[in-house]
Amino acid sequence: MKAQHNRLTFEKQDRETEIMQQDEFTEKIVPLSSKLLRFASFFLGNDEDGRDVVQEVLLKLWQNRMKMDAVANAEAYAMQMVRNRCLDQLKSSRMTKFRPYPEVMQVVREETDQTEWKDTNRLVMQLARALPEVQKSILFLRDIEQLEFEEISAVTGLNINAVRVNLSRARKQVREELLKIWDHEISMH
Amino acid sequence: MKAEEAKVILQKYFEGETSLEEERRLREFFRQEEIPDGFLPYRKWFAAPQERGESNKPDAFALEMAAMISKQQPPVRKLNRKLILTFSGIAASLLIVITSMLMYLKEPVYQDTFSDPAEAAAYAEKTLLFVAEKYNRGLSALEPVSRLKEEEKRLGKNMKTIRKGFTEYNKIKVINNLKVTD
Repeated sequence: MKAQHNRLTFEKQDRETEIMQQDEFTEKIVPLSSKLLRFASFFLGNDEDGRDVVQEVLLKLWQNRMKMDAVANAEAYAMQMVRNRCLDQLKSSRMTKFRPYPEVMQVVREETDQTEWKDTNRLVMQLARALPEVQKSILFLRDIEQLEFEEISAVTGLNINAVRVNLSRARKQVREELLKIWDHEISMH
Repeated sequence: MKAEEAKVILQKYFEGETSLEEERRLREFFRQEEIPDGFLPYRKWFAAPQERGESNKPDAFALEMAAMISKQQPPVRKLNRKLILTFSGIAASLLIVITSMLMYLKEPVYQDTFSDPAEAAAYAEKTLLFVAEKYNRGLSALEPVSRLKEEEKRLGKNMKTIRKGFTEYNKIKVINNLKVTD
């Protein structure tokens, strides 16, 4: 009798924690969807692949929601998963032959000359996307998502100092390109 | 923000040493109508509209993902319950089969000990008599218990009278107290 009572209370507790975890998931993880999507789409260069990655990551997080208690920062953890998933995808696709930044930017510049950079947002994205992987993640997280250094450190697994160094490198690279674009525009007029 | 200050912050920005607040102010500076010449090359970088989803409009993608998750939910639970039921059913039937088999195998086999029925009857009677004798002797030891019961009954009667006396006594006591207070 007592054993059965215990079993019943355990079952009840299990169900309660499960419901709690469901609520926590819908409150904390699901609202991050768009943020994760922006990150993934930025990384992969298109929305469709980004959606697939985010969907996959959310399903995985959902299946492991019972273990999520051990994760200190759920948001950083989800971002990290998205980033890793994107890196895997990029690695496996043939699209990512290594090309030095100036070469990539040459292509970007030629493509967008016609539009005269009307779409400044697109310029920003393209400047950022052409960077090496680590710099590109950090620049995106800081200048587009505006995360604190601590959060970026949690997503990338780098210490704060390394984040600063990479961010500085990325921004300087972007600065160089901005100056080139500016010269280009001046000479056109 | 003045141009001088913007210049300093811009310098810090490229070194990766600005705070989020300083970066926000820098973007504000670049969104002005007129900005000094030296800043023009960076204008497009800082003046780009923010894509951040901080607006309060309903987030279509999040809703879509929530729907996907909620679809995920019931099948998992149903499957679990079904599985538990099925397996406990199998386990229970296996248990029944095994125990009944064991009992069947262990059923004692009786052997005839007497060839003559009269001899068997006589032996049985003798055994029963022996048992009855032992039983009666055991009961005789309990005889004082019945006497104890009788005594208890008598005691009960007397106790009643004593209790009656006490209630009477209490009444008298109450009356006495009344007299004193009067």
